[in-house]
Amino acid sequence: MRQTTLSVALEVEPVSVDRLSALIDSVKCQEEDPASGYAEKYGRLQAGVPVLHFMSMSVFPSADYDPVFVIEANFDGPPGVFWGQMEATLGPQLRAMLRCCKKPANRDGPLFVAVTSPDSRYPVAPYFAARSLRPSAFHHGNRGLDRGRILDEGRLFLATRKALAQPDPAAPNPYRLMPAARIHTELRAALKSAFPWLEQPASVRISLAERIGDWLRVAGFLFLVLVGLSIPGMIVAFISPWPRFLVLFGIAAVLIYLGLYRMRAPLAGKGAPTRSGGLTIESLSFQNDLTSLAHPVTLTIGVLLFLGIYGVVASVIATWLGIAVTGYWFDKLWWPSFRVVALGLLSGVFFTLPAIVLWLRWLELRDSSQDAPPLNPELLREMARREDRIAQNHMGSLVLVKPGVLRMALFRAGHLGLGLIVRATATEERHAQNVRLDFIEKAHGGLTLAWGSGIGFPPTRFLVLDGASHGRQFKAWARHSMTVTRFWFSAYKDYTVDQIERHARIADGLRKPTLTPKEAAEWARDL
Amino acid sequence: MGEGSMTQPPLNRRPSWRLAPPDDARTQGVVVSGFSDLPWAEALFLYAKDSGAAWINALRAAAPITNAAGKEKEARAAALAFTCTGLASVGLPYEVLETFSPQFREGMYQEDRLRRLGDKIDGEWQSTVIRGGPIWSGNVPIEQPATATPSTPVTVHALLLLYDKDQADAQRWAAEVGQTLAPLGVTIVRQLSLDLRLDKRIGREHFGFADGLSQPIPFGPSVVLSDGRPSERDPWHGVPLGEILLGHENAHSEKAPGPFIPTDEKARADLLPEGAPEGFLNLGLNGSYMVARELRQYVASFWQSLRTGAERIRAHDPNAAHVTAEWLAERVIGRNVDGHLLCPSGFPAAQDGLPQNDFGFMRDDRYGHGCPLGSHVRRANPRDGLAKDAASAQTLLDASNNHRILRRGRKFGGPVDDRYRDDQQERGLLFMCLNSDIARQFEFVQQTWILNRNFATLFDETDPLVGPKGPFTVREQPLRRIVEVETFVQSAGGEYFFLPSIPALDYLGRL
Amino acid sequence: MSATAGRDVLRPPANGFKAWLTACLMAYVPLGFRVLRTIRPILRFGNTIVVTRYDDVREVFLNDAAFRVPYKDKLDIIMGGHPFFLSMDETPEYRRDTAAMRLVVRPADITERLAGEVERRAEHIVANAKGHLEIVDSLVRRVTFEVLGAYFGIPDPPGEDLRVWATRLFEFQFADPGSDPALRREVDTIAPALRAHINGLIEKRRASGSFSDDVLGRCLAMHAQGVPGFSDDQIRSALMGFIVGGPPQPPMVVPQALEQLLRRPEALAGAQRAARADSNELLACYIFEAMRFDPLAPALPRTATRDSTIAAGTRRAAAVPRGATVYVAFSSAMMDQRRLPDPHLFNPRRLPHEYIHFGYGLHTCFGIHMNQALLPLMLKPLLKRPGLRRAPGRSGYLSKRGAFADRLHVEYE
Repeated sequence: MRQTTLSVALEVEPVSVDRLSALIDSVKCQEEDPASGYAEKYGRLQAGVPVLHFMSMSVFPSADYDPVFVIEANFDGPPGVFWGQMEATLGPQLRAMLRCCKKPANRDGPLFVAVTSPDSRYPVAPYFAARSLRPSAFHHGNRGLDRGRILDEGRLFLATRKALAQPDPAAPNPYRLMPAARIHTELRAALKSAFPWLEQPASVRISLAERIGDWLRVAGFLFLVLVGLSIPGMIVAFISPWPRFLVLFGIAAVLIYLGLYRMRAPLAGKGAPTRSGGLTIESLSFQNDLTSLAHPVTLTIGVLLFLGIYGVVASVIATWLGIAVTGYWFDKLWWPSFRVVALGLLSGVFFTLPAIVLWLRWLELRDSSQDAPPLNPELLREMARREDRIAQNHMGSLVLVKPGVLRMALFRAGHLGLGLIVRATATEERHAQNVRLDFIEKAHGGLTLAWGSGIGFPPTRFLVLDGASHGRQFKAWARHSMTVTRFWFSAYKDYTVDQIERHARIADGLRKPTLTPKEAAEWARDL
Repeated sequence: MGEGSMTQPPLNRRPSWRLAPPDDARTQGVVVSGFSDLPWAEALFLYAKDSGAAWINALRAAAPITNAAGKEKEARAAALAFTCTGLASVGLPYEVLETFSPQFREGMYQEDRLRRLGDKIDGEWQSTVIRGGPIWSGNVPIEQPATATPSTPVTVHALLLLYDKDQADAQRWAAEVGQTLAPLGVTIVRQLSLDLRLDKRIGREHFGFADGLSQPIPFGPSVVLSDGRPSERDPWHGVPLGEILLGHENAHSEKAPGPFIPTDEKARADLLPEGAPEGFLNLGLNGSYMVARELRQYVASFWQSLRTGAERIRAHDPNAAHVTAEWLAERVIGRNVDGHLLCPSGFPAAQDGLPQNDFGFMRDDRYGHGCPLGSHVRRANPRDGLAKDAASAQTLLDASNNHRILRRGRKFGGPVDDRYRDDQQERGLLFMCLNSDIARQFEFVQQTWILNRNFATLFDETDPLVGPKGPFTVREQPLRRIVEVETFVQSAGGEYFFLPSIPALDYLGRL
Repeated sequence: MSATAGRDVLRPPANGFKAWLTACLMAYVPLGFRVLRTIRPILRFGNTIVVTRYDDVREVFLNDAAFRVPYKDKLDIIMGGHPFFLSMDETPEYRRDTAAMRLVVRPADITERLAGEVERRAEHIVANAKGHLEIVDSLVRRVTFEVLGAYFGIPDPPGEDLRVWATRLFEFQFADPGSDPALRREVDTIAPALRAHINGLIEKRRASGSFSDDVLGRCLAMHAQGVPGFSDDQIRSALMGFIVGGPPQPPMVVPQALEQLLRRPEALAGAQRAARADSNELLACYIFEAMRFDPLAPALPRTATRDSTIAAGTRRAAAVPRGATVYVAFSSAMMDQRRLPDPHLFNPRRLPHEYIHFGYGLHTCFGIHMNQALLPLMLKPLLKRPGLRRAPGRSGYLSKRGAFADRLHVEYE
C-alpha cells in the first residue's frame, strides 16, 4: 500500500489567529474527552479516518509573515479518500478553521469563498485537496505497511507475549523446552484461530514496480543534473576542437581547484569537525554488504555504469535532435554528438560541478548565522508542556530559505534529489517522524544538507559539513523556527518505527507454515 | 548501580587525567577526583534565608574548598555548590541569574521536567518517588511563572560536601561547620553521612555491586595526564573537557556556555573575561552544573523480588537451574558483582587488575545475549549498542559519548547484614554528577535511555534498577525471559546545582 | 376501482424496441457514470444536468434551497391537493409536520415491535417454502407490507390489494419520468380510493372509541389532545405518504442486494456467517455494501430554484440555470474513487459516509433508521439456511421490470 505524505499551509487572517488556535485546541479536547463515547482517546479520529497514520496541526507565528496554519498528514492511499474521511469526521470543525484563513489570491479563491461563505454546505475536502503540497523530501519509517496491518501485527505481538508467558508461577512453561522451530509451529497453531489472516500471504510492502519507479526517478533526476552540468561544456565543445577544449577546461578546472583549496578551511572559530555523523566518507565501508551502495566497490561500479549509460543515452538523444535540425542522418551525426556529450560530461564533472561548489563556498563564507535567535519563553513553555507524552513527538519548523539563484536551485534540486534517493534506498528501518534530540548527534550531516539553506542556520561548509554539528546552536535555531504542535494524532502511539518492524518480522515468520532451524532461531530473537 | 560513585583508586591503570595550570587551581577538586582516599563524607544541605553572602567566606574559613591543583592524596577535602535560589539568596542579581542555563533556572521540579524525568506525570508522583513526594529541593524558580512548580517542604540553597579519612572526623568537622554557620543565619536543613567502604578495593553500592566503573575521560588543551603527557581522546570514553567544565570546548565545538557578570570592581580581581561577551566576565569558567538526587535503595525488596523472579523462571523451565537471584541481579545491572561486564563469551579479560571497560557491544554482544539490552549499564551508556550495523557503530558510539556524565555520588546508610531481610534502615545513594549541559547530558540519559519504554526495541519496559515496577527482558536462546521487577529505588529529593570555580566562589563571597 | 384488484403488483412489462433499449441502457449506466465522472463530471444537455461525483452529489443534496425536490405536482394529484412534507422546502410547515410525525413514528418501535416481527415473518416464509423461494414478492414485499401495514394501521382495502395501490402510486410519483397516460389513468382511480379508504379507517377507528397503539391510533390520540399537525387531512396525507413512499422500496433494494451477494461467493459467505452469528450490525454492513452496487435508482431528480453553480471554484464548475432539472447520481457517487477507497471492491467495513442510500440533508429518507435496521433482517432467516444458491435457469437471476425488481428465485436446504 502506498503511503501519502502531504502538508497544507494556509495563511491565517492575523486577527483570527487566536480563534484558530482555540478551534484546534477544542478538537484536541473533544478527542481527549473521556465522555466522547469512544473507548479510548482519539477514538473518533481513529475510527472515522482509518487510513490515517499521523496528523499534526500547528499555527506558525512569525515576525516576517502572517501566521501560517499547517496541517501535516501521513496516510494510506490517495489524498481524496483521506480528505473525504476527514470531512465526514471533522467537517464542521475544519470549515470553522478555514474561516479563520485568508482567501487565496490564485484560482483557489472562488473555492475558498464557496467553502467558507456563511451557511455554506459545500464540501471542504476539495479545498484541502487543492491546497495540499507534496513534500519533495520525506521519509516513511515503515514504508509499505498500511495502518490496518500495523495495528493487526501489533495485536499479534501482544498475543504472542501472552501466549508465551506462563501465568502460573509454579507450572512449567511448555515453550521453554522447545527448539525455536517447534516454538514457531506451536505458537502458530495457538494463534491461528484468533488471527486468521496468518493463513494469507502478506501484501507486498514495496512492489517491484514501485521500486523500479523509484530508481527510475532517481536516474532521471541524475540524468537531468548531468545534462545541466554539461551545458557550458557542450556549448564550447561545438566550436572548439577537442585538444583545445581539454586544455581550456583543464586550466579552468585547475584554477577552480586552487580556489577551493584556499577556501576549504572553516571560518575561524566556526569549524565543528566531527568524526562521524551520517553523511560522511566513513559510512562508506567495506564492512557493508556488497549489494549496498554504501560499499565502495559497488558504488564505484554503479557510478561508472551510470556515467556510461548517460553518455550513450544522451548521445542518442543529441543525435536525434541533430537529425531533426540538420536533416543529416545517424551515420553523419552519431560521432559528433557523442563527442559533444562526452566532452560536456567531462567538463560537467570536473569543471562545472566544482565551480558551483566554489560559488557555494564563496556564498557560505559570506553567510550570516543567527547564533542566538530570539526565543519566546512562553512558546517554549507551551511546546515543553505538550512534548514527551507518547512514544512519538511531533516537530514542525518553518524557515525562510536564503536568497539567491544558486541557493534556490540547490535547495530545490537538493531536496528533490535527497527525497528521491532516500525513498529509493531506504530499507525499512530508520527513525520516522519522531526526531529526537539524539538525531542531532547521529545524523547532523543529513540535517545540515536538509536545513542548511535556511536563513540563520549555523555556518555550513560545503553544504554538509559543520552546520548541525554545532548542536546547541542548531537546536536553538530549530527551536526558534518551531512552534507549538497544537494537535498531534498518531494511530499507534505506543509503537516506535523499530517496534513496528519487530512486529512485522514476527508476523512474517508466523505467516509461514514452517521455518528452518536457522530461520526459526533468528525469528525467535524478536519474540 | 551506574549512577554511582567514582571509587577506583588509579592503581597502575592507564594514567589518570588532571587539569593543567592555571585551570587546576581555579577549579574545585571534586571535578577531577572522587576523593577515594577519603572514604567518609558528610553532605550538608544548607539554607541561608536573608543571610547575604558573608557566610560563604566564614564557611570557607572553616572548610576550605579544595581546588584541583592539590596533591594526589589530600588530608580532607570540601566542595560547595549552589541552587538557583541559593545564588539569589546570596545576592546574585536577577540579570546574572538569567545567564545560567534554563534547566538550572527552572529547577529539577519544573512540571514538564518532572514528566521527562519520570517523577511526576499528570499531577501524580510516580512510584519512583518516596510516598508523599520528595522532601527537599531548591524550590526553584525564584519567580513563580504561570506553570506551578511543586514545592518541597525543605528548601536547599547550597550543598556542602566534606570528605575525611574517618567517620568521626568527618562528623566532628561537620559539627564545627554547623556551629560556624549558625550565627550567620545559615542552617543545615538536611545532612547525609556518605561513605565508600571499599571491599577488596571495590566500592560497592548497597545492592552489592561494584560501582562507578565507567566514567567519561576528558581531553583537551587544559587536560594533562598524571604522568605529565598531554591528553588524547580515549577511543571509548573520551569527551572534550567542555562536557564537564563550563568555558571549555565541548562536543559541539564551542565553549560550553556558562553564566557571566558585568565587569565591576568586586569581580575584576579574579574572574576572567574569556568566553564572556564584551563588558562581562565569565562567572562559569571552570565551574560546572551538578545534578544531585537523593535515592533510597530498598535492598531486601531488590533481592526478595529477584529471588521470586528466579524461582519462577526455574519453575517455568527445568533447564534453568543456573538462574538464581544473583544471576538475575547481574542481568539487571549488566555487570557481575565485581563489575565485569556480562558478555556471551564470558567476561572480557580484566585490564590492569580492573574490569575491562574498553568494550563495544556491537562486536561482542550485539543482541544482548550477555549484557541484556535493557540492563542498567546498557541503558545508562549504550556505547555503540544502538547501531543498526557495523558500519554505523562508530557514529553511534560518538553520539552516545555526547551524553556522558561524570559521576561523583556516594552511598549513605549503614551496611547490609542480610540482604533478604528488611531491617527498616534508611539507605541509598546520593547521586551526584557533573555536566555542562544538563538537558543534553543528565536529562537525556534519564529520559531517552533509562526511562525510554521503547529502548532498543524493548517493549513497554524501563530501567529494571532505577525505573518503576514492570517487566524486564533477558535475552536467551531461543526465547527471551521476561521477568517482573519491583520498584527498588525511590527519590527523596533532588536539584540542579551550580558548582562554581574557585574565583567564582571568591566573587560570591564578596557580594 | 376493482379494475386493479387481483392484478400483478407491477404493471406489465413494456414491449418492443423502446423497452429493449431502456434495458440495455440501464445495464450500461454504471459504466456511463464511470466515464462521466472522469471526463464530464457535470454533464449538461439542454435544461438537464447530471452530476456524478461524490462531492457534487453531496453538494446538491445538501443545498436544498437551490435544488428543490420536484415532487409537488404529482404529489398533489395523489394527495388531492393536500400538502405533505416530502415536497416541501425548509419551511415552518415542514418542520412542524416532520416533528409531528416523529411523535408517532418512534425510534423505539424499531427494536420493540418491528425488528422481531420482520424476522419472525421472514423466518416463517422461509421455513414454509420448502427450499425454493421467490424473493421479491413472496418474501420481501409480503413481509414489508404485512409488518408496515399493521404498524401504520392500514389494512388492505376491502377486496383490493394495498401492495398494488401503493406500488402504482410510488411508480407514478418517483419512477415515471415520461408521465405514462395509462399509469395516470390508474392513479386517477387509485389515489381517491386510497384517500377514501384511509378516511374510512379514521372514522371507523374514532367511532370505535379505542385508538389502539399503531401510527394511525397514535395520530388520533394526538388529534384528541389537540397537538398541532394532526388534523384529519394531515393524518391522512401522512399515512398515505408513508404507505406510498415506504413499503414499495424494500422489494426493490433487498432483492437487488441479494443478487449482488449471489454474484460474490465470498461476500455471501461473510453475510451468512454474520446472520448465523446473529450479528445484525455486521449483517447490515454486508447488505448495504451489496446495495451500493445496485442501489434504489441511478439518480434522483432535483429542480433548480435559482441560478447557481455546482462545484464552484473547481475546474468542473458548472452554472445551473433556474428551472433546470438536476439528476443527482448517488449511485455514481458511491462508486467515486476520489472519495471511496477501492470502490470496486466489496468491503463490508466501509464508513457510514461512503453510503448515500438514503440521500442527504433536508430530504434524507424519513425511514432511514427503520430501513437500516429492518432491511437486513428480511434476508437474515434466508441467509442462515445452508446451501443457499440461485434456482436453476434464468429465474435464478434477478429480473427487473422498469425500475422495479421483478423476480429472483433461490434454493436452499
